[in-house]
Amino acid sequence: MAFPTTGIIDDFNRGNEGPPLSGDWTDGNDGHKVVSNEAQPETNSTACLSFYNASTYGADCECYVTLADAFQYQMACFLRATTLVEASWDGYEVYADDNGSELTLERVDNNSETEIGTPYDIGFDDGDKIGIEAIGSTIKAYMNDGGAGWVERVSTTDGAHGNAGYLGLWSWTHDTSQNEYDDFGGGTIAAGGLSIPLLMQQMDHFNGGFLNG
Amino acid sequence: MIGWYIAPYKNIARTPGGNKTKRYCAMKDYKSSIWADGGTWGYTEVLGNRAIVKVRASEETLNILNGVFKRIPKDRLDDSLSDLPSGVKQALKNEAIDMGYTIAELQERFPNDLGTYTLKQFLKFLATRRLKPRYDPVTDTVIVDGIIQVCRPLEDVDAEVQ
Repeated sequence: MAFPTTGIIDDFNRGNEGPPLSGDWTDGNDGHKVVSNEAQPETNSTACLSFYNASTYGADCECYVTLADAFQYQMACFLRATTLVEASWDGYEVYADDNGSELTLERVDNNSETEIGTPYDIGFDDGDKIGIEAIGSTIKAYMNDGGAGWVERVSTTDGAHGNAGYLGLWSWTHDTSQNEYDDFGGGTIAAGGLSIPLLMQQMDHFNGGFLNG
Repeated sequence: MIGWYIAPYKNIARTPGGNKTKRYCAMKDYKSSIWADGGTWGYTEVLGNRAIVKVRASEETLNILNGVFKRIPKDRLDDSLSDLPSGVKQALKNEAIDMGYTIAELQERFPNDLGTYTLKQFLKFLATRRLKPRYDPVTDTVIVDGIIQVCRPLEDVDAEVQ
């Protein structure tokens, strides 16, 4: 199945604000802010966590983000987050570790990360995109390396957290001005791989009726 | 070559400077050797902060891993345990007890001599459950003492590493 199947949720194209990024985001102890139409961590040398609170997605869902400015950082986007509370959330993350040159999948339990699956060794450059997909108990990490197209890089199974939840961002950096993200996207994966928003557009085109055929 | 192991989970700082500890299966420390062989590994987290790991690698690499992790003395899930010496079978049981399973649980699942069962039956018992971790920000440690959670199916691990 192609990845992703859903659109961008927040392109951060607005005046500087935050933290949080907007009213659609809930931060943990430290979060993210909009600077020059991109998302930045709130502070240096501190884990920054932001939940997209406007909706829950899933259970089958995906999440992705562009690493607009990559420099010796750790960054993750996540899905199936069970709460908007940093201390107690469960879910799954795709974790880009530029320090260790690894792309990994993690299961989060009570804000504790445990690696799942085998890692993919790769360095990260400005403009790379990372994504995560959860379909049933199959969890996958994707990467779009230098615009070459999305490629599945890690795949595993884990049945701990199988319900719908929130999407979000996590990051850590030495220098917030050199650690920026763009085009946060994701959503529920409908049966057949089509996004729910895309199906609704097709129904509207046919005057609200279901497609026959 | 194929090898099954019991490997511990290790803690590592998630960020440079040690902020936020996370866990990973210790077999990852040997990823370079395994990948250099054209091999791979798969695992399921089980009770006792450990993982059952299946590795495909060269004989040389497996020999190195044998000195680091506990090697399961069979290579295929449908292998019988009938030819294992008594001491080896007892060591397998001791491993299960050390993980956190009780003698009563062992006896209920394996009422007969362990040699009358297969590797799959024994490993599936080890993968009966695990506990949910939690992060303690005061001590920056991961504590594995939460509610029971399901383990990744052993069949998924077996299929992943061929």
